[in-house]
Amino acid sequence: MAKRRESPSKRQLELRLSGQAFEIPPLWDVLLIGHQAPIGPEAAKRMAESLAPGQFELVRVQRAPVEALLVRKSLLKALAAEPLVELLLEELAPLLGEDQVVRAQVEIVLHTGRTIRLE
Amino acid sequence: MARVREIMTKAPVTVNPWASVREAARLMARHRVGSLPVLLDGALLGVITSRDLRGVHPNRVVQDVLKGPPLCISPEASLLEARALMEEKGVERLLVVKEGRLLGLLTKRTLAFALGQRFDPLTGLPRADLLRDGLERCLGRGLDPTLVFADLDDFGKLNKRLGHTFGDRVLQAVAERFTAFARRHRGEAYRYGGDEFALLFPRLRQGLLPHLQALLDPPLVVEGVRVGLSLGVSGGRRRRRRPGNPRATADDLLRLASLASTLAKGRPERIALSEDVERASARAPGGAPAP
Repeated sequence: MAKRRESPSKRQLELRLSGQAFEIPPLWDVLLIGHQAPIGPEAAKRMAESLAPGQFELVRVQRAPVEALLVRKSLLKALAAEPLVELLLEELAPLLGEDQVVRAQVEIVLHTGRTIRLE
Repeated sequence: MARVREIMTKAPVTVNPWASVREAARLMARHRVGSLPVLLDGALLGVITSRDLRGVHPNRVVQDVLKGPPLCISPEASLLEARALMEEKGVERLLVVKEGRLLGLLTKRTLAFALGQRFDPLTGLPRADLLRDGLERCLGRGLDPTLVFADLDDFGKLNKRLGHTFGDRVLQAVAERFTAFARRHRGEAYRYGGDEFALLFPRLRQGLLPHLQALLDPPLVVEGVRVGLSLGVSGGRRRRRRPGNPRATADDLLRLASLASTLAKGRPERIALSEDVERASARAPGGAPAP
């Protein structure tokens, strides 16, 4: 039987590198933690505390699918925890699975105006 | 009465609150335990059970699984206190702690096994050491307990005449009557040993004495054979005087009730009080307690 000739292997390895600035802390303004998420509220708080001491506050909730929210304290100066949490849950919870952790940005813009009576 | 320290699991396997759930589950499996006390720098934070870990993501930390403050008990607490605490709080384990230091772990199963050895298998009643413990606890709390000792009349003869299996049925019938009576009057019935039973009520005897006759009437009849009982009563006269030595006082109450029950055998009413024993012993030559 005739031998089949094999061509030499042309396997190649291609490396692609990309870089991105790592943010500290790696969370934005709010972290929504699902009930079955791989990181729990206490561990998330500990992480935030070690990377950004004193900047985040843990708010526990018992509403599926969210177990807790880690909120930047400066937000809580502008807005009480309750309406903020209510708003976040209303808007973001439907997009969140129980096993997920989602970081969210919250921008607070203050609009103000005054009327000055002219003489 | 045995204390918690005698039956607890000493030096239990512990876990750090920042260990992962995966690591905690691995520890439980390796050491074949269903729970782990959680310690941080020697300070006790709580206890996690295998049930707590069920369905939790293995990457989570133990701290996230921990629920509420730990339920602790002193190593000097009695087994009955431990049982009462477990029942009240609906838990299956207690951490044994002294001065903030974890000494051991007590599970419901260990407790049930230890208590099982203190209950009489024939009648289901608690035995003498639990009576003593109950008595000492009443006295220690400043309550004035009433103790009723009951003796069966001629039980030895009955056993010889009709056999020990019949004797066992008699003991069961007596236990049923005593348990029902104790339940009605907020007390507890015990099998002291042999054909001797005891009833403990954590209160003064005035309210109880008028009802005692119900233990004797109607006469107990087992398979057509009438069984006689004699009752001796002690305690219930101290009016909230907390004794300096509850153990010695308990000894005294047991002795007086037992002697009173023997004294009652010679009486038509079949009931005698501790004062009757004291009077009888004062009359006896040499002041020895008369039976």
